[in-house]
Amino acid sequence: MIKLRNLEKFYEGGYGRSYVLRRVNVEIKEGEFVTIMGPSGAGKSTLLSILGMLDSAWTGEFEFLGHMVHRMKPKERAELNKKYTGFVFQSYHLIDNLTVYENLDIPLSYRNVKSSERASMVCDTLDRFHIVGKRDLYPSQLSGGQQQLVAVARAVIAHPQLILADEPTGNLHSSQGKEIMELFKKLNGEGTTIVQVTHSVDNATYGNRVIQLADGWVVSGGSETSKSAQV
Amino acid sequence: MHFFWQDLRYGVRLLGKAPVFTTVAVLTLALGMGAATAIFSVVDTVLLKPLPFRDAERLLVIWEKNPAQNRYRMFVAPANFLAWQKQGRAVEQMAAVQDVRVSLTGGPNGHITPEELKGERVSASLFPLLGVEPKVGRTFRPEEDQPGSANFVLLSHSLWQRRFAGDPGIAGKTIRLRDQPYTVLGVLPPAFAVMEAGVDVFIPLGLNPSDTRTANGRYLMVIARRRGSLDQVRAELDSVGAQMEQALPALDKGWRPSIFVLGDELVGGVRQALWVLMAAVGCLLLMACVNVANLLLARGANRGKEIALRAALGAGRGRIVTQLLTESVLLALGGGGLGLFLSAGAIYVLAHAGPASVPRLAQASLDLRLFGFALVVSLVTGIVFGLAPAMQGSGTSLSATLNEGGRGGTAGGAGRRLRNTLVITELALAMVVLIGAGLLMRGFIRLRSVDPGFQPARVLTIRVPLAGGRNAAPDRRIAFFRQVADRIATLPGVRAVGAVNALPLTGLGVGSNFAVEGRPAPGAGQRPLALLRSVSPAYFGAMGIPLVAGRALADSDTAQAAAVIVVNQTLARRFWPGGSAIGGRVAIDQNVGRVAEVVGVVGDVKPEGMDGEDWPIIYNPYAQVPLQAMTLTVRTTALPLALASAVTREVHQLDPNQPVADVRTMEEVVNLAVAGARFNTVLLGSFAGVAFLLAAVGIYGVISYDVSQRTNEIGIRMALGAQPADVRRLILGQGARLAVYGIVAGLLGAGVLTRWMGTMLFGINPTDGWTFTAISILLAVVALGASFVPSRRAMALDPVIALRHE
Repeated sequence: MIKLRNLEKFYEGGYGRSYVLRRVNVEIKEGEFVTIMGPSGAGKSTLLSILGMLDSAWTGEFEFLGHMVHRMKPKERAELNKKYTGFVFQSYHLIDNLTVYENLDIPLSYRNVKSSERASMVCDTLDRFHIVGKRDLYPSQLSGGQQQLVAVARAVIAHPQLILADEPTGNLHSSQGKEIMELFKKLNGEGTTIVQVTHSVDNATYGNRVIQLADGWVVSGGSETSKSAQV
Repeated sequence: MHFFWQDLRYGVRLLGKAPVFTTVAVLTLALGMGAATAIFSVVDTVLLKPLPFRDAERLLVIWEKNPAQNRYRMFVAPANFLAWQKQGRAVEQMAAVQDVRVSLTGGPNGHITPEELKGERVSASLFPLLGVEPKVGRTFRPEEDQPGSANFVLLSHSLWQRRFAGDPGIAGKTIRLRDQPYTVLGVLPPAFAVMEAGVDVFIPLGLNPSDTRTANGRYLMVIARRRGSLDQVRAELDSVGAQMEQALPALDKGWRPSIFVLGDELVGGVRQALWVLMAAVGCLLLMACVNVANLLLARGANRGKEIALRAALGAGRGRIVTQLLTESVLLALGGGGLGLFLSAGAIYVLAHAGPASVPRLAQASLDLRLFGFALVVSLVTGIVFGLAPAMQGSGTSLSATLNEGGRGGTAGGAGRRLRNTLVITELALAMVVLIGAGLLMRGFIRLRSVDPGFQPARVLTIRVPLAGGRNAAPDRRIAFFRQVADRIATLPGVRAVGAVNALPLTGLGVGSNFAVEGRPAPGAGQRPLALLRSVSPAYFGAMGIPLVAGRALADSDTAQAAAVIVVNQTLARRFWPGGSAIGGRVAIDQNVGRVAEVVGVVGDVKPEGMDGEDWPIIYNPYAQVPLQAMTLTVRTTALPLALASAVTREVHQLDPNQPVADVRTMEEVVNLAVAGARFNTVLLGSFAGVAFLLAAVGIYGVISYDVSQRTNEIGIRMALGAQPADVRRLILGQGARLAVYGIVAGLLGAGVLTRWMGTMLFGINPTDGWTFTAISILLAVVALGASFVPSRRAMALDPVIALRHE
C-alpha cells in the first residue's frame, strides 16, 4: 500500500541543512496495523503528515496504492488523501461551533457525496459508534473520550482504506484510551490499514509492527522483512 | 499614582508595538468624531441656536399669498403693510424691508473707489422690533423714516471695517450713495442680518402711503413681533386682508397675508438637509465606534492569555481593568485629538465654502460641548468594548485560559457572534449613508443635466448700475450702454455683447400683470403675471437663447419706434395655444399700460433655479424700457474671465466713477444656482466615502481576525479533505453572509430613512430602485473584496502548521 524510498525532509538554515527525516525506507501493506514510535523530535508526526499528504516539502519517492505521490501535483495529492485517508489527532480537532452530526458530515461534504446519502452515512456512523444521543451536542459538551470517539467516527465515515492516528489516546485517561484502541483494533480487523504514532508501549501492542525512529532515521521496522521489533 | 504612570507607559508602549491597530483605531475615531462634531456644530449654529434677536420665537415674517395662482410667498404691497400695521392688535410691532442696490460714490473724505452695495430700505421700527442695538452711534428715529426727510444710513459692521477702516468716529459723517449725501447714523453689530446675509447698508424706507405709483407694487418683506398667539395674528390679519380685498379689489382680489415664524422661515429650506447630514454623521460616528469596538474585541481576545497570566501573578481584577482602561482612554484621546483638528478644519471649510442659502453658516464655529459629546461616545465605546474581554479574562482561571486550544478547540462562538453582529450593524449603517449619497448624486446629475435654456459656456457677465452716476438720466442710459457694448465688441476674443436687467437663474426679479389685447379681460386678481426683462438687441445671441419664431429685437426698436416685445415659449403657448404669438398685442401694467406688439418668440430660460418652473417672460427692448442697472453679457472665444479687466476698463473709459459689480462667468451663475444641491451632494458623498472605507475596513478586520482564530479549524478541514477552493468558499461565504445580512438590514433602514430626503432630491424617487440595487451590489463587492485577502491567506495555510496552531 505504501512504499517510501529514500524519503528525506529537511530545513535550510544558515548553518546548513537540518534534517527531520533521513533516508527513510518504509513499506506498509494493506491490512497492517503499524505503530511509529520514538523519542520526541524523532520525526514521527512529520512522517505521519507526509503519509497523510499534508506535508509536501520532502524529497525521495512515495508510492501510495500504486500512485507515485512524488510526481503528483499538490491538488492530486489532496485528492488522494481525500479518497483513501482518515485522520485521528491527539487533540481530537473537532470543530467547536459544529455539532457532532455536523462534524461527521464535514469529510463527506468535501467528497461531494450527495446530501441524502450523507445523511444516511452520518446516521449509520452515529449508530455504529453508539453516539446517536450526542448528535446535536457541541464538542465542548462532550468528555475527552467522547470527543475522540467522534473524531474516530469522523475519520472512518468516508470508508478510508488508511487511518492515520497521531497520539490518539494522548489526552485520554487509561480506560478511555483502551476503548479507542479496541476500536482501532476492530477497524483493522475489518480491513482498514492503521498507522499510529504513540509513546505508549501498551498501545503499540494493538498493532502488528513497530517502526522505530530516532533523529529522523528509521532504526527498525521499516518493512515486514527488515529488522523489526515484533510485539 | 505610581500605578497610573506605569499603566500609562505600558499602554503607550503596547499601542506603539501594534502600529496598524493603533493607526486604524485612532484614524477611525478621528474621522467619526471630526465629521460628527463639524456637522453637529453647523446644525447647532444654523438650526438650534436662537436667532440673535430679543424673544426671537415671537418674531414673524409676513408675505402675501394668492392661492388661486398657487403663490404663497410673494412680496407685500405697501398699502397692505400699512393696513396691517394700523389694524393689527395681536401684533406688537411691524416693520417692512425692501432689497435695494446702491452705489457708494463718496467717502467721508471725498473721493472713494465706487462700489455697488447691497442695501435694505427698512422701517425705523425694525431695530427696536428686533431688539438690536448698534455697535456705534444710533439707529433711525421714526421722523427719519418719512418721505422727503434727509438721507440717513446705517453701515454693516463688515462694510465699516472694509471701506472705512473701522473709523470709531464714523457716526455723523457723510458719505455719498447714488451720488447723494447720506449721514451715517451708526454701525450695526457684526453679522447682523434679518432675511438676507451680506447687506452693506440700511436706509430708511420712507414709505409714502399717498404715492399710488409705489403703493400698488409688491416689493416689501414684512417682519413683525406678535403680541398674541400665532393663530390670533393669522385670524386678525386675515380679516384685515378681507377688508383690503373689498377696499382695493384691483390690488388685493384673491390676496391674503401669509404668516410664518421668522426662525422657521430662515432655515426652512435647509432644515431637512441639515438633519439628513446630521443623521449621516451620526451613522459615521456609530460606525467608527463599531469598528473600534471590533478592533478592541479582537485584540482583547488575543490577549486572553496575557490577562490570565497577570491574574495568576497576583494582579487583581481592578488592576487589570485599570490597565486596559488606560489603553482604551489613550486610544479615544488620540482619536479625539486628531478629530478635533479635523473638525476645526471641516468647520472652517463649511463656513467659508458653504452655500449662501444656509443662514448663519459663516458663523459656525467649533463647539467644544459637542466635541465633548463625541469624545464621551468614543470613550464609552473604548471602555465597554475594551473592558469586556478584560473582565472576561480576569475572571477565568489561569489553567483554563492557558490550556485553551490544548483540547483542539477552534475559535469560540460567543465572541464571533458579537463581532459579526457589530459588522452587520456597520454594513447596514454604511448602506443607509451610501444610498442617501447615491440618491443625492443621481438627483444632482439630473439637476445638472437640466437645460437652462441658454448656453452658459464662455459668457462673461458684469453688472453696471448707473443709479446716481452721471449716466443715470434716462436719456443718457441708452447711449451709455450702446457705447459700452460697441467698445467691448471691438475687443479681441469677443463674439457678442448683450445686456439684460436680470440674468437667468438669479431670481424672479421684476414682474407685472398684463393683458392680451382682444381677449376678454379676466376678473381682478385673475390677471396674468409675467416676468419683465429689458434687453439689448444682441442679448439673445450673446446668451445663446434660441429664437423660435418671428424676429429678435433690433437696433431699430428705439424709443421713437413702435412698442415691440419678444416673449418666451411658455407665454406664447399659454396665451396663443395652437396659434402664433407673432403680431399679438400685449398691454403691460408696468409699462403704464402701453401696448406692445409681439415680434418674436424665444426659448424658455430658467429664471430662478434649475429645478424651478418656467415662468412667462416678456423681453422689452432696452431702448424702449431703459432701466438703471443692467448686466452686460459678453460671449467670448476664449476663457471669459481673461477678458474681465479689459471689459471693466472699457466701462471706466466712458465713466471712471462708474461702479461695476458681480464680475463672473455665466457658468459661475449656473454653479451658484445648484450650490445648495452640490453642497448636500459633496458633503453626503464625502461621508459616504468614509462610510464605505469604514465598512470595508470593518469587514476586512472581522474576517481577517476570524481567519487567524480559525487557523486550527482550517487545518482540520484541510486534513479532512478540504481543497484550497473549499477554504476560499468557507471564508468568502462568511463574508457574503455578513454582507447579505448587513445589506438587507441597510435596505430596510434606507427604505424608511430616505423618505425624509424627498425635498432634497430632484427628479428622483427616495426609494429609487436603481440606486438601491447599485449600492447593494457595490457593498456586496466590497464585502467580498475585503474577505478575499484573508481568504487568500487562509488558502495558503500549511495544514501541518495550522493543526499545531492554538
